[in-house]
Amino acid sequence: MGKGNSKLFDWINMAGFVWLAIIMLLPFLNVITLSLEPAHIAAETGVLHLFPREITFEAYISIWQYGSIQSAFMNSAFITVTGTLLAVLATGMLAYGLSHREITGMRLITYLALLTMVFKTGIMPTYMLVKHLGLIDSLWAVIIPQMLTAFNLILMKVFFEQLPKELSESARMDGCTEMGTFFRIIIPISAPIIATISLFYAVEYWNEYFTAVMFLTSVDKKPLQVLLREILIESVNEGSGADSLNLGKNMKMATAVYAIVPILFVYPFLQKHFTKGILLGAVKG
Amino acid sequence: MEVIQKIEEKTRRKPVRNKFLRDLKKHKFIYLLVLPGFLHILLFDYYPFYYLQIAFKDYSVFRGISDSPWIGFQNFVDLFESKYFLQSLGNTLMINLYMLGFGFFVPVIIAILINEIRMVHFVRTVQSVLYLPHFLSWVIIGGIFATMLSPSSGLVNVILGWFGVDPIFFMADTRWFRSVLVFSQIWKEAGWGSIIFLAAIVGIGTEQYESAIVDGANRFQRMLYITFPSLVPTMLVVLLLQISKLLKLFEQVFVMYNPVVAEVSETLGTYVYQIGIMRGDIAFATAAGIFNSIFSLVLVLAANHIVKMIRGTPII
Repeated sequence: MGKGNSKLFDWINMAGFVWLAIIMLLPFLNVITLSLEPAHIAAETGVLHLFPREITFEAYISIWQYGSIQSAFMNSAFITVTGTLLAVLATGMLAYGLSHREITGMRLITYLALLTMVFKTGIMPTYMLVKHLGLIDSLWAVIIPQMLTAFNLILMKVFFEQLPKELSESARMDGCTEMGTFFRIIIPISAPIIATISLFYAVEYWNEYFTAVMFLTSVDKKPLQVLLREILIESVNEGSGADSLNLGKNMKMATAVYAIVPILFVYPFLQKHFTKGILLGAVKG
Repeated sequence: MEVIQKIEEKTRRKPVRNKFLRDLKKHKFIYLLVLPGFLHILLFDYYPFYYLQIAFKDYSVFRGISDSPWIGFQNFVDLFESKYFLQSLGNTLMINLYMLGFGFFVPVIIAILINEIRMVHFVRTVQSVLYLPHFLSWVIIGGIFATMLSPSSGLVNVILGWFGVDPIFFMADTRWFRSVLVFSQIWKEAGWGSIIFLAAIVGIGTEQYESAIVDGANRFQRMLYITFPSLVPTMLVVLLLQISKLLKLFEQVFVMYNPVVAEVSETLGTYVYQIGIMRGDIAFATAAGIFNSIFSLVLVLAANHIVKMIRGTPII
């Protein structure tokens, strides 16, 4: 293979990736186009809907008039914000404690946390527990059980372990208590990892679907993902679902865009930090 | 210095309980920090083991757990006599086999080919596009596929129509639904899966490539005889990871399937949900869950053992 062939390979290779990118983007283009078209155009069959022939934000505005979508959005926002705050707090506190391996008990708790990755009891025992705690049909049932994931715990613990020991030592020399060190020294320099883990939890909570279906029974508790499934999939597959909502195609797609946009918003940060996280996990694993 | 060493030696010899009490006094704040998370782990990860006994009982909600009589392994016997359980086990294995067969090497190939491109901006843009679906929920991905595959107005059927193909109801056709699952799984995760292989490629020493160039190896030969074999250990780890998740195939199917295609797509996960939550046969579902966990562990250990036999060294 000469130089010419090598160049040719480069071109074919890149063309291949352009094609791949198009295959990945076409579905999104389709969804966005449909959401921007007026109802009668979006309903047309036999055409591709890849570029809107007429642009209107009518679907995005009128979707808010449906109370159920508004409340679903609010439920998702509540779960995501409250859940992320609590989860980062619980995970960060535990991870910082466990990074003190020399203190009695910390190693044991670390092993206990790691073991949960190997053997899970399954959905039935979790369901029974949530039921016994009286959390069925409460948004807390979606928030509390997911507050601590082993993966995030390890990421934070590794971060705290890598901090130079001199930092907390010199703080103690200056008469700082453990509490003072934690609040005045550790938290400020941990801002990057706190931001990263917050993003991870936020995406998990925003995308949470199954626990919501399992634990939430009343209509006004539904988060966006549950409503979205009824609108997007059940109605197409079974011709039913979300009976009360006889939505036009443009409005369905607008709802989907509402669910995608928050993720797109944090995507640049996600990509950067997730890549680091997964690589760290790979090295440690 | 000597004094410190002596004190350290003394404390090392003291019983653990004393050290614990001393630590507790000295590091009150640290124990306080750990407490909520520790309790969370105990309550949500370990306490549920208590409920596993239900699998060995003739459980009824009215009698409660302790008053329900023990019946040994009867629930497990029933499980293996249930046509639907065996069907869902078969489906789980088949769908996973398809996913591995068609999808396993896609991230590897993406990583190797993307590594050949030298234009940084092009690579970054492609990566951003390829990774995106990983962060979207299965509800959104499933919804997008349902829209694209709709028989009346979906993009795919419109294009098929140009070639004179009659509309296919992919999402409600037992012949097509598994392919939809396999394709959407690859579409969502293959790009993201390539990250770990890209990292492994970066770790390959440049000397190998340099001596290959001296020996006159062209780019294809270098990819085939250096890059690909260097990725085998990573591939094995990824394979093991995927085997450990094999029986967890759940959310994707749960979101996308419907009664029409249940016979080809009911998996162990969705089966447990249907039996336990929808029909309320909690003992039966708990037994299925236990089988699920143990079978998963056996699969992982078996895969590890097979690799050990072939290669001489295990994966983990």
